[in-house]
Amino acid sequence: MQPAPPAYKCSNCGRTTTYARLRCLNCRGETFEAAALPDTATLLTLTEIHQLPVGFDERFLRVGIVEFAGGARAMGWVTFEGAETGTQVEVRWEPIRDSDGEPVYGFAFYPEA
Amino acid sequence: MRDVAIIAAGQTKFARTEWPLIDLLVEGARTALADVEIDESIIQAVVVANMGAGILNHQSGVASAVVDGLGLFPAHAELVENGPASGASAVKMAFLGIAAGYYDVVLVIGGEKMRAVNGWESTDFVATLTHPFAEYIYGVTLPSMAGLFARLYMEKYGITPEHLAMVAIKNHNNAMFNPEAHVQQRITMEGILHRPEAVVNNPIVADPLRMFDCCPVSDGAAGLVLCAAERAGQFTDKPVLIAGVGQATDTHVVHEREDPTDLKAVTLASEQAFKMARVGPDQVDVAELHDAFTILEIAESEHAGFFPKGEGHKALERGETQIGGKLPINPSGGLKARGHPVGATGIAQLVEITKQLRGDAGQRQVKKAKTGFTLNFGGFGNNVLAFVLKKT
Repeated sequence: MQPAPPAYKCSNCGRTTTYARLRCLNCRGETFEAAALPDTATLLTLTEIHQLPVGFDERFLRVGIVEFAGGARAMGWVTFEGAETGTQVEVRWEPIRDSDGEPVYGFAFYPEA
Repeated sequence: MRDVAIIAAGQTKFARTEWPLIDLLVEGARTALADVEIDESIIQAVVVANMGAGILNHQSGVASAVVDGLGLFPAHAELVENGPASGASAVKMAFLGIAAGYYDVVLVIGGEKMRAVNGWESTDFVATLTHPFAEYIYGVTLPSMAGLFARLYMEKYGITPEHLAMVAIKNHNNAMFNPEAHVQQRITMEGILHRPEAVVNNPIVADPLRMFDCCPVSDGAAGLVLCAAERAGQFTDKPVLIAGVGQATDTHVVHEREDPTDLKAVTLASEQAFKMARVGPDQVDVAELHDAFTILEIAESEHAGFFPKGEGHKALERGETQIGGKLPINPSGGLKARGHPVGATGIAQLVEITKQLRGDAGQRQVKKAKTGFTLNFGGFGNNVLAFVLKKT
């Protein structure tokens, strides 16, 4: 079973980010609680990268930004062809690459079942 | 605050160079110092802009090394790093030192030797300014951040690939008249977009952006000598006044912005610079904008206040941003064709506007230019500086 995607909800104002912060972007609050993200989200934008940085052997990568119900957003890999802005995707948190032999987890977006 | 003037300006040719980084920066300084008759012993400080010496060139202590290279002891020396806006930040720091009365004369130099590494490594170097966990781990590049932005912006405002190509064609044409430009190559709509071979000539980098939508990877340096305006007449009869300086920051993670198509820091920095200069965007005669990607010239021209939102590409269509138009943008060729050695860019923009306001811009001269504007865009819009310059 894959671990749940990370989500950090500000205890003061409720703003949720998908990466850890020490201070809330919205209210500067410094206390966060774990939050659950929906399994699906809406693709806001995407791009297909054909000139990649060092460390990637792929011919190209598809990267997108999604928005979850409630407003939290995340960047991740778009794993399928034909996606466009507004496409509903299934969101998974899974190993996306290796670093020194250790898996690096990240968001990956799949066609909605 | 005292008024501050630019009394000298110069840059190296932007290209690939074999010079070590420090020599490149020294050469950038020499081009500025050659622009004015000055006893160099009165230079009290040297402010150096550079983004990547530690990563690209295995060099630290850059500012001290540059003072040594120039033999300007015991001038103060500082390094300013603010990503691709390092150049403008360095000028701002020099400006503040003079405006406060601490210095009278300061040399500012910006430079980068990006082609010391291969293309994959230089792409990765620039990508290190993205958020390490929310963005960088996905293999994003700056062209891909621009691609994500471009898709949204184009859909929102009806901008087409042809509009992006118009920016590239205009700026390449302008660079033909700039001997210091990195890319001196005329391009056509057919050649980069419409002919079958365009897919080879102009491949996708990060869709919808193609190669000719992106700036080249350049080496180069640029320099300015700044002076208390009250003393500028001792050195030149054509000082250029730094009339307004603005700066603003925005979120590191681009998708945290409420509207990812809103370049809020561009708007705020521009407004601050215009307010300080007591002019409006409609009084600007020439502008250098940060067109690292063609979409940015269009978006910045709107966010800086020159055109309403969604109207920048229409002004481009009408030819208003060409030399001879209502508001020429990037007569130097911009980052797109002059080149983008990241630490040098903000200073090179001010070098160009200084030449334009002095009437020294040769075949790319904008007629009767009295007020100029620059915009240096750090990160992906998370730290932006704007300057308003005035002819004196």
